Amino acid sequence: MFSIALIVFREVFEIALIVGILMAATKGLARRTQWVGIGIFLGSIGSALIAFFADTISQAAEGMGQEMLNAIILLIAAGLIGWTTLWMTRHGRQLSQEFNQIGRDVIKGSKPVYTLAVVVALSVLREGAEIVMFTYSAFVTGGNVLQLAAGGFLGMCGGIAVGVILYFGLMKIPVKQIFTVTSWLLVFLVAGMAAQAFGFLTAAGKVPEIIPVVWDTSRILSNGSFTGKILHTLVGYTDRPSGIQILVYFITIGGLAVILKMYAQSPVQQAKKCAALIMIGLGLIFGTTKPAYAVLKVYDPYVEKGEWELEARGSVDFDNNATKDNLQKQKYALGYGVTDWWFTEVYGEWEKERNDNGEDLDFAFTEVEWENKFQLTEPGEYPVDVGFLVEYEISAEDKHADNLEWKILLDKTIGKVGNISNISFEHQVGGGHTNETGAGFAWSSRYRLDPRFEPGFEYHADFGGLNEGKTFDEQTHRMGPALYGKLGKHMKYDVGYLFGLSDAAPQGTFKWILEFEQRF
Amino acid sequence: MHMTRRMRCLKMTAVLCGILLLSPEAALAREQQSIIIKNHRFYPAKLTVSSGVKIKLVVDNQDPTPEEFESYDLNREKMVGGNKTIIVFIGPLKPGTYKYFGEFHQKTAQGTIVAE
Repeated sequence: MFSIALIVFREVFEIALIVGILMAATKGLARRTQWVGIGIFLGSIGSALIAFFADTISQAAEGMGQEMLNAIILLIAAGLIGWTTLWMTRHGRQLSQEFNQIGRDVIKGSKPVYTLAVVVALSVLREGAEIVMFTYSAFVTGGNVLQLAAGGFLGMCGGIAVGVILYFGLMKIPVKQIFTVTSWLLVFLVAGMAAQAFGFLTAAGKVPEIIPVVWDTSRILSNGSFTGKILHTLVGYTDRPSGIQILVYFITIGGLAVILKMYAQSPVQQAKKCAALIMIGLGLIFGTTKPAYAVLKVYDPYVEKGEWELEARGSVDFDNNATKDNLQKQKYALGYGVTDWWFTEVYGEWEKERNDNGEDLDFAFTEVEWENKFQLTEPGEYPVDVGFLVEYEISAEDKHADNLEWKILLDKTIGKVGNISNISFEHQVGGGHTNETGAGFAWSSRYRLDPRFEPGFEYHADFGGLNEGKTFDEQTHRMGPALYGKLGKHMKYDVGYLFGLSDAAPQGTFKWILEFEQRF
Repeated sequence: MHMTRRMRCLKMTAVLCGILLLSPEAALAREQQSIIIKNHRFYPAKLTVSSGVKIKLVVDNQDPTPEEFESYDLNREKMVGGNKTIIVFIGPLKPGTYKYFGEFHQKTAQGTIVAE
């Protein structure tokens, strides 16, 4: 009976923590208890359903159904909480004043309140499913119904009790500060959920780990321990995090913190931002998996001194030919503007490859790159702005030589249209290298409609070795629409879909680039 | 040919003008304008420049703290340290109003450049 009690307690406790924080954060919102109640009810039914269909779900998505489901649920919940937090920040002043009077006013803006129900339902769903399955299996292996029920009930009471204590603890904080405190609690909650979601995505093979285990504190504070579990839900602590989990965690905190700070904008702008972020997020999950051609980025020739940049980018190829279909690549990098003419960046690249039998393998770390960009002219001084880029790639795979690549970067804005071209050359270095110098060309044009939204197109060509004399169809030529923009002060995005123009190119490639910039 | 002094002067002037006109400097005719940053504000807040020519904008930061001269309309973003001066090239501009701002003190550091 106690094992049931413990399991139920642990799961209910986690739900109670989330509900407690949400309830505290939304104090003053009319009918929120009602919505939370609905959420719990729906979540419970949902979890029973999930438990019932557990086998089917597991088999789905190539055996990764459960992981994908968990990841999706976590990301949706994280997104909704994030959005609710931002909505709350906008109405912060009103709420912290007079709760009673506000009641009626807030009902008007009660849209976000139903999201509470959804978030709670999703949380209950996840945890509840485990409870149901464990209880069912315990029952099936000859458990006493009464004992099981008693244990379950005990666990539930314990979990709820802790949640209530947390809620009242939060209520003790002065009204002025409660808002900031709960906002920050929610930010950490969201970051933790996002990191956890990426743990599931890694298990499902959708994203690389980057570093399998950044630290192992399972001896000091394990995930299973009481404190560990609290920390896990509150701030997203996990005892053996992977590199990508840490990356996602800090990017989420950074992104939310930045948006929270500049939140004096109209609802329309906020909604647009959320939509853009969700689209990018979905693109990240569903659009990236197997390896493709490395560089689908058109570089501008500008450098900003003192700027730090975190970059993530990837691409997915689509083709009728099975050997070319669904090849994916992802790169993650950290860069810094050392002077006002020199920017340096280090990349790690992961590819999801295919072995000779045509089977898909897990993400493999394929190379480290060191890239240096030089701004050669003062913007606008000459008819064209010029820059130069040189990069060295160290291959992590046997039999692959290293590679040296250099590019001339040209930028000219004509009216409201920005145009960039890159002329590139590369040469292999080291063991197993060919003696060819390869050449390539890329072009990007964009209409500077709005800093957040610049539609345009890109063209990429890989001519192959200068002496190889490849025909057009043997070369890789691609072109397609692209969308660029900067969201807020720190986030830049670049997404596009390139259609293959030559036979050697894949029929379609979806590419995405995300940059987070900060100056310290 | 025997030249009078006047003719020699004229000839010299003509030669000098020729050199100036043919030099790259003259070919890329530039207008110079100035903006001062003081107490996190731009002076003048509204600067009028000629349209259709390249402008060499001298931004003199008289505050002890750094500022970032930034403009989406002009497509420029450049740091200027405390008590330092930078040069920003803009244009040729079509007639119109172009907004710019100081990223570090956006509340007060706002300005426009009007091209006529």
